[in-house]
Amino acid sequence: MNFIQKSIGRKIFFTLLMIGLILAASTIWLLPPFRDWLLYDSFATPLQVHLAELAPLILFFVATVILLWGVMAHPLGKVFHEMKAYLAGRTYKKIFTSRIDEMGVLAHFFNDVTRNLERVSGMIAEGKRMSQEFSVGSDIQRKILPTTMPAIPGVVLYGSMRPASEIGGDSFDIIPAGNNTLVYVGDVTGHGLPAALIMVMVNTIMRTYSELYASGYDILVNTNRILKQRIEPRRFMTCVLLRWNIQEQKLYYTGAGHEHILIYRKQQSLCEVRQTGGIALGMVPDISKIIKEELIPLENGDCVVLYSDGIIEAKNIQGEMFGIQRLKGAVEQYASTSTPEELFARISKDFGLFVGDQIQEDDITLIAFQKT
Amino acid sequence: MALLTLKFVTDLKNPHYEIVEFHGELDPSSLPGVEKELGPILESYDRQALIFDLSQLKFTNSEGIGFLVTSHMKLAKRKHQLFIAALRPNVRDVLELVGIPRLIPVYDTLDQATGAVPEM
Repeated sequence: MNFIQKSIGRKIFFTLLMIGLILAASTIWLLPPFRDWLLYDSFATPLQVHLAELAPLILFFVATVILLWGVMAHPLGKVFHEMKAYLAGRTYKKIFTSRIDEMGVLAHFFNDVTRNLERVSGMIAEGKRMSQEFSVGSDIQRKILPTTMPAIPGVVLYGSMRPASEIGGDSFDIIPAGNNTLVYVGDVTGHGLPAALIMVMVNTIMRTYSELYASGYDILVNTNRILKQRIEPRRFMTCVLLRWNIQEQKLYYTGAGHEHILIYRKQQSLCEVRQTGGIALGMVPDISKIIKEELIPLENGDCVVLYSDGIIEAKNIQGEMFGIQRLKGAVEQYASTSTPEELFARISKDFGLFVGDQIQEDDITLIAFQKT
Repeated sequence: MALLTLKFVTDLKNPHYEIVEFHGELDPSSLPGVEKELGPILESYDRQALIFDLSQLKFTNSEGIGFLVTSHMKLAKRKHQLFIAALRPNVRDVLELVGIPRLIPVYDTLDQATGAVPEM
C-alpha cells in the first residue's frame, strides 16, 4: 500500500481501476437483467433505458471528479492558499498533513521553506541590531579619539586613526595635564570588538592616571597594573607615551613594547629610528623594573612620528609590505617642508598609492609631532 | 590560510625537557589548531622546561605572541619554564619589539636552550 500512498498518480490510477472494474462487472452481470426489466416489466421509455445503460459511465465520471477533487484539487487549494498568503505578506499557517505523496512533499516543502525563511529573517534582524550596536560602539570610540588638535606651546601635532572594521584596537590620545601634554599611541592585540573594549579601558585608565602622576613612567606602570588584572594573558597593548613638558620645552618618551619612534632631524635631513623598549601593557603584573622614561632631545623643526604596525605591515597586491623603510623614506622626503598635518596627508597619500585596492586588514594610526 | 605543524621531540638521554618544533606560520588562522594540540600538554606538563624551537617558524604576529605569553603563564603557574630558541630574524624582531625576551628566556640556538635547562 505504501507504493500507492507515495504517488498521487498511482493512487488515482488504482482507485479508478477498482471503480472501473466494479462498474464493468456490474455492467456485465447486472445491466442485462436490469435492462430486460426496464423494457418488459417497468414500461420505461427507450430514452430511459438508454439513460440507465449510461448510468455506469455517469457513475464512473462522478467518482473520477470526486476523487480528483478530494485527492488533488482540495489539498492543492489549501497549500496554494497558504502560499498566496505568504507571497502577499499576510499571515500564513503551517500545513499539517500526514500524507507522504507529492502533495505531502509540497506541504512539507512549504513548511520547511517558511520555517527557514523565518529563521533567516530573525538572523537578519539580529545582524541589523548588532550592526547598530557596532555603529554606536564606533561612535563611542570616535568620540574618545581626539578630533581637533589642541594648541600646545612649543609644538604642533596632528594624528588620526583609521580602524580596519567599524571599531578597532588602535588608539591615540592627546591629554593636557598641567605643565605636561601627553600624547600616546597604543595598539591592542588583534582588532574588532575585543580590541576596542581594551582600547577604551586603557584610554580611561591613562586619562585617570594622567591627572594623578606627572611622569609617563608612573602613568604606564599603573595603567599596566590595572590592565593586567582585567585582561587575559593572550591580550596586551603595545604603547608609546610622549610627554611634552611645556615649561622645560622638552620631550620625554616611555615605551611599552611598541613600534619604533621615528625622529626626523631637520638639520641633518635624516630620520632616526629609536626602539621604544619596555614590554607591552597587560603581559606581566609589574613593569616598574622594565620600562623607563627617557628624553628625546629636539631642535626646532625636528619631527617625531609615532605609528601602529597596521601601516608598516600593510601589503600591496604583490604581497609586499609597506615596511618601516618606506615610512622612514616618506618622513625624510616630506618632513622638512610640511606641517604635521601636511606630513600626515602626504604619508597617507603614499600609503594609499602603495596598497591600492587591497583590503585594510589592521587598524592604522599615525601621529606627527613637530617642535616649533 | 597559514599552515603550522608541530613536531614533538623528546631527548631520551635528558628527562628534564621536551622540544616542540614549530613549522610554518603562527597567526590567527593557525592558532586554534596549535592551542588545541598544545593546550592539554601545557596543562599537564611535568618536566622542568619546555623548549619551543622556532627555527622553522616563518611568521608570527601579536596573536602568536599572545599564545607564547599564555603558554609561559600556564607553565610558570606550575613552576615550569618555557624557553624559546632559534628565532628567524623577522620573528625575533617582532618578539623583541613587544618585550618578550624580558618575560620568556630566548636563546639563539637550540643547543643553548637545552644547555640552560636546570637539572634537578
